[in-house]
Amino acid sequence: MTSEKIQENFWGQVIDAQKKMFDFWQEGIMPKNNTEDDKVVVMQNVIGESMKPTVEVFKKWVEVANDTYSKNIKSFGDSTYQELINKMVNGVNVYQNLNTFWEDLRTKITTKESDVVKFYSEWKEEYLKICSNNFIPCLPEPVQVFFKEPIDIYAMQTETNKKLLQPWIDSAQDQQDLLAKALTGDKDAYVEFTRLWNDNFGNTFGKLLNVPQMGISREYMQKQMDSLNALIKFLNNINEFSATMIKVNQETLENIVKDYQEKLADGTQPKTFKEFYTYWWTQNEAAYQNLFKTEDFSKLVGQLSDAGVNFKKNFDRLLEKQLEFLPFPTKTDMDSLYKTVNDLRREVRNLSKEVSTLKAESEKPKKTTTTKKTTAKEA
Amino acid sequence: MISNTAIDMEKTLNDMFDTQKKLIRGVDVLLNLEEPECGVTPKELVYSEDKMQLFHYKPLAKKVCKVPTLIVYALVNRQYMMDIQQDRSVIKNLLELGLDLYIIDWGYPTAHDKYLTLDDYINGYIDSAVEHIRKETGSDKVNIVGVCQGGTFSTIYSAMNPDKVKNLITMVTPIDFEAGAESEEALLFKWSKNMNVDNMVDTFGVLPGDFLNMGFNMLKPFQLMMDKYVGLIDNIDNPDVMANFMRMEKWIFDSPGQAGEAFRQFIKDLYQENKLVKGTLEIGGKKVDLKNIKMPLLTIYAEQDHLVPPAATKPLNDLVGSKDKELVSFPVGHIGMYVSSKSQKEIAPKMAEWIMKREK
Repeated sequence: MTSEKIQENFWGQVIDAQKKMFDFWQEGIMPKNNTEDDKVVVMQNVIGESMKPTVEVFKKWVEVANDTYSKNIKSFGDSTYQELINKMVNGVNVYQNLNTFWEDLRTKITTKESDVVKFYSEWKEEYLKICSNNFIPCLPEPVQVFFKEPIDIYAMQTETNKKLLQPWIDSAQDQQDLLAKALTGDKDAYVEFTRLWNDNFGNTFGKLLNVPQMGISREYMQKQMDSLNALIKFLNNINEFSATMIKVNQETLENIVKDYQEKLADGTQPKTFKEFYTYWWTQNEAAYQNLFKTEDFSKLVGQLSDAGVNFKKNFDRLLEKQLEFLPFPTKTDMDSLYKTVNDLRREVRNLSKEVSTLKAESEKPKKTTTTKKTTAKEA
Repeated sequence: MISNTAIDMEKTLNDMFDTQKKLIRGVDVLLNLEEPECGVTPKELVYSEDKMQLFHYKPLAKKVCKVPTLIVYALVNRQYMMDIQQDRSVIKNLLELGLDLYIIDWGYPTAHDKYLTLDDYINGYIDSAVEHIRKETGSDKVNIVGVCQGGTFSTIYSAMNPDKVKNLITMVTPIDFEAGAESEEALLFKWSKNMNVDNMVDTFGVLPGDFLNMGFNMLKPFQLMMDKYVGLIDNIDNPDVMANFMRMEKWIFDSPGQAGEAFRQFIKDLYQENKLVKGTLEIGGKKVDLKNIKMPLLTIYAEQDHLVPPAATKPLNDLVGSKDKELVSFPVGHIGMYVSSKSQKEIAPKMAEWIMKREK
């Protein structure tokens, strides 16, 4: 094989490999059909590993809800109500449909959260219609309540879950596009992606973490949730901040390469590594200065520091709660003491000054009197 | 492919060998460097209140100015910058030129200082120091030299206590925070606008010094966090340069925390709302009117100041009621105002001469 052919073959392989890689990306992160199903898949891809902790929370929540529901169903168990239901299901067509519906529900609700979402989307309205219009009125009145309650619970749960996940679903394609753009070199895209991610989190799982807690450990649980929420928000902010900084870094690198090529052409390029280093860092510094001057960056810094402070604040509260049974004064206890000490300190200082002034004033008339007396004697 | 002519191979290799030799010699220099000494000009502790200490420097001139001069430094970093080393000491220079100097050391605030306010610092500690000096020297008035944030404090104090201040000098002092934020280079002023200071103070109580240092380093990240140390290799085998470097390094990171309530008011009322210039600033429930400053005023600013831009400093002279006022600038940066050779040769002599002329 001639050297030209070897080269041609080599480049052919490189191009082929690149094409495969892009195909992989397209399959993995940009499905061609944008159906609701695909959106859910896309959403999962986008959220990916970074969502694991929050997805876990959600999964547990779904499991608990599912478990509760299963127990509700079991309550019909061997009772007469179960028999009654079976009869009705076998006898009337609408009940058959309902049974199918329920079977589907029971199967799908135990699978992963994406299926739950899909299920809700498909069945929610029809299920309620079937139940409320056809099924329940046929039941004996005392039994109706047993069906109405789970139905209401499901209606509420589906609505809540839908609301919870809707922002992710709605923006899944946008996030997908942004991520794809970011991977192909668009520096603004990743920044925008992280912003969208933060917004979605705040509107969904962030809210979940803010749900008021109950029970004997209510306060402790609340603090734990607050702390977790603050940590996630802080990490999100770090992510956005880093993306902004990296964007400048990449742009500067591109500019340096272009500029270096131009310098090379006219022979003015840095001739030693030392020269290149100086050229490199001054270019970077200038680029970052341009970023730092902007109002957007100022807001981002404010946002980041605020998120960091919020995390510390919430974590401090959690620690205080954990330590409250130990024989140590907490920060809150000490703050109260500091305040008292500070107020007293200020009062003492003001009083000392007042005493000094009064002393000085009380000494003045004595001197005047003495002088007057002397003057009088002399006179 | 880049041609070999793109790189000066000989120079590059020589640079590399030179660096290696310096690094090897530098090991020996670093092993024998002693803890840098700062603030060694002789002084005596004459008054203290809580963590604030007032020092009086031993006069070094035959003829000493009759009106004592109090130096008020910022709460950020430490006052020994003014006396960083004997051959670069503004303090020593001013003493030799005939001034009778006092200086406030604010100390290091701890948790129980979180409730200290601007009123505590200005009408509390500064006033206590001034009262002590008046009592000790028998002088009715004192000269005040305010440095950076200490200059803002001194300006406020002078406006509230004009009968106690003979002459006022402000050095690299922020006054007009809005004008500062508009200037290109004033990143701190811009960033402060979006800072949720309430949350910070409520959470930290005393703001950690490292937190502020992080902000200062972010102003010029490549220069301050990288090139400064890379450039050190060029001088790592020079004991004098290394000793000076370590001294500065010690000062830069010797950063006291900031008492929360005072920090809150300084950021909100000044950086964010510019109340001093607007005439709406209140300290201890009393309004601060800059027109009350009628004593002679010397405003000094650094032309290349990236921390306190000239735009934030210069307006003071137009806001006061003084007839005898002067605005002077030097082609240095914020720190260069104290440690540069210009500082020793021009800035300190200018200050001493200005004060001496207004002794009576």
